[in-house]
Amino acid sequence: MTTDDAAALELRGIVKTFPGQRALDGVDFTVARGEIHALLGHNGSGKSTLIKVLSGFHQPDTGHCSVAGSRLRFGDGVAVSRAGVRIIHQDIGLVDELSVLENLRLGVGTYRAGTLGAIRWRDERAAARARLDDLGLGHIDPAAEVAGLSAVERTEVAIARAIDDPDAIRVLVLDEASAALPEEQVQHLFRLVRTLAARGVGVVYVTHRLEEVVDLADRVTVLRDGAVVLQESVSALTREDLARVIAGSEVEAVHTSDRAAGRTTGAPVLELAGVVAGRELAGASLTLREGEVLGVAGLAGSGVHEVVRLLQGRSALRSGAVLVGGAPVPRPGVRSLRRLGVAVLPGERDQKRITGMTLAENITIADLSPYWRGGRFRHRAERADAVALVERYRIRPPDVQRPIELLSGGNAQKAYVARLLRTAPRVLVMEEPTHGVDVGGTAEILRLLVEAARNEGTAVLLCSSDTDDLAATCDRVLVLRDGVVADELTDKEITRERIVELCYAAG
Amino acid sequence: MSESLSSATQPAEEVTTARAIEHRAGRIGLDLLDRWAGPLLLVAMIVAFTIASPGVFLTSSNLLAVVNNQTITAVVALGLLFPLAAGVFDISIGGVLTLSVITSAWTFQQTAGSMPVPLAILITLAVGATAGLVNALLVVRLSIDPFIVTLGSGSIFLGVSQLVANGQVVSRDIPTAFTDLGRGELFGIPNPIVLVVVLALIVFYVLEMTPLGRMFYATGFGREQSRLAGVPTNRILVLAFVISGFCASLAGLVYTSRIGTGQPDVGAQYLLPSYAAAFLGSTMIKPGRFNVPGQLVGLAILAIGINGLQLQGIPFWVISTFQGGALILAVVLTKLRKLSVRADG
Repeated sequence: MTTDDAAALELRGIVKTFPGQRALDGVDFTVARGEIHALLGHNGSGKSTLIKVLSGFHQPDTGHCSVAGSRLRFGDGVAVSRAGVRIIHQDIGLVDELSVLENLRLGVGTYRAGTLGAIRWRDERAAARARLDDLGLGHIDPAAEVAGLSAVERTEVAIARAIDDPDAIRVLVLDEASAALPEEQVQHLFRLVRTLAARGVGVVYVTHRLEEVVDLADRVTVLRDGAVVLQESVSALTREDLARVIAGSEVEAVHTSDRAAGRTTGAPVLELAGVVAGRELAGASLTLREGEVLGVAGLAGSGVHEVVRLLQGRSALRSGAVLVGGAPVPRPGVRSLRRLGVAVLPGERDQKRITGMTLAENITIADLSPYWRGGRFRHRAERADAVALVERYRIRPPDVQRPIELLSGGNAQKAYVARLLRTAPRVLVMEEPTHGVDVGGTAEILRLLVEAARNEGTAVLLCSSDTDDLAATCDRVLVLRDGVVADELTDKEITRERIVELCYAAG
Repeated sequence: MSESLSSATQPAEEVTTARAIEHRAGRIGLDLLDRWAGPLLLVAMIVAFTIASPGVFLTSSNLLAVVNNQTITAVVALGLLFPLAAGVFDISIGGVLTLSVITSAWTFQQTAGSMPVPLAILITLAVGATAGLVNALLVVRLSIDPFIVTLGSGSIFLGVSQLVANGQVVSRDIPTAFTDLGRGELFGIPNPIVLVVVLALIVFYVLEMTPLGRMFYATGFGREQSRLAGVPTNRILVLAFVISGFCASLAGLVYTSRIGTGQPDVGAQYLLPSYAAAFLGSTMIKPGRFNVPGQLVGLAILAIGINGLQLQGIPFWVISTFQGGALILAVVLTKLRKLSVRADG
């Protein structure tokens, strides 16, 4: 039963549990026709889980969903699409080498073909033109190659592709659609979103840019720890209000007693001096000292991940300098830094996991020299080392001959941490070390990092979007915004709330 | 809370451990079969052919001839293990082999046989290693797909060989001091076989018993991941192509010194059996890895299979069919094995 006055989207009492964790705890979420509804929440708040429930990827434990008044079965992606729900992710999935027209056609319907099956390109072009014009995208040429488009044009094409039948679309979910967009282009996206809303489409707008919420959205829902903590009209709210609600009001008092003030006065071991690099860093400076755990926080695009890419030699240093022990490193990269005692652990699993090799081999690969004695590789010594490390870091199952791809994410992650700690680096740079790791594993990994800093004097640079991790372990926390270090928190100032607030603070 | 949790998980853990042990026992049986199926097949073939061709197949002269015929392939194939372990294809080895055959024969012909044999050998090996270096630089510096690079460069090496040989067989003034190397024996064993044994031991040592060997495999299993973990992957790749070029030219020397002439089209026939042996070998002894013992067994399966079938009077076209079939079979086996590992998790 479809009625005109029914909400575009209605989710009721959604509960989703994962082993050891309740990701969604009875979430109600309603989007009216023609409404732009912002969905906010920090990392791990349940935002992405909720969208995955809607898309059919996750099957919720309880709850129900209706689109334009019709009940929707969960876990069925095709039914979701047929009901008129479209979801656009940050990684928008366009093929760079194809034209706009070909991208609009990717996986959507069939080409208009003449006799012998030849595509009638003239008709296709006219249809694409009409479709783009209809959405107010007259500036995009259907024949243009997607690779040559600006960031916002690509997003517009992705949305246009999703709106294959404008009359049938009820709900459009934009999942961080603006994250990759430069400030000045965001207005173009807003125009398109408003055009769609004016036609009665319910828009769910997921973002972490709070000023966008205030500008664009009609209503806002904030999730925290899997529950709705705020759901109301945006007009009465300020950016600061939102930041406070997202962070939660409880003051964190974790481990603050453990933060020794003296630790931040050790000798500088790794420094960035006015670094301009890659697409994100625009003159960032920081100093990492011996024996401290220094957190680096910031939203996607703020430069946090560019710091890691720079130290991996994956983004070019355009100006400024990287210094280790006071001496500039002309071409920072994995091997040049390794020689200076700087080890970098990438965030993505695909950059760490050597599939096809065993757990032991994955741990020892960073330095095989201890096993090269008397002209042959001492397999037994390697195995003994691996067994000891597996024991010490509680990697499960404790079978060092097991292929690494058979370990769970958290246990594999501990193995990669062990890989680097084993080489006793002076500086350990970690990107998202607890991403995808369960609660117990997270605590252990963080404990390992803190122990390395306290006991070995290792300087740890923790680049993380998990503010709980930062608050729990760091001696100092730097907050990056727009590619520069915007704030520094020390001692008692380091709370989850404060970090989140500064991450979202205006430029 | 945590206490009740841990006591609650206790029995479950015991059950999983018990299952794991049972499971592991099953796996060990499977593992053994996985590792030794290839060698078993070889033994079965030998038994079958001995029965099928009594008094002909299982004679020392026949077997020695079979092995001696495989020496050139074996030398190429052993060198090929390095690029394969490092995860790249080198299909220029046929071209490099040809280039080396022509280089060695030509240096003698140009100097009317007065070129000292050791110098001729050095020049030839240097040419082969340089050819490998050219491949390596194209792959590493310009990031071109190794398959395409070596497909092209192999053809260029062949063309250069034809140019140098002027399209003809180079056979004048090849000294007997040189051909004695290829035709001679050491304690009754033909020199080429001795060379293969020594080379196999060296390659085995490097791949299995040095950190360098581990780094070859790591590069092959995950180049970017290994690079980020500190493995000098570019250097590994350069080394892989240089060794492979060097071994291909060593094989060329074996060829010229045995045959006594340089033909500008010899290399191509060694490409397929080298790959077939390497891939067959990667399904046994140390499944999932290109390894020396496996490769030697693979070579033997190919050689004995063809020899045994020929003794049965099976026609000439069987050789190519058999080798191609073995290559595809090996790759299919690898695929099945990977699927079973995944299902295990």
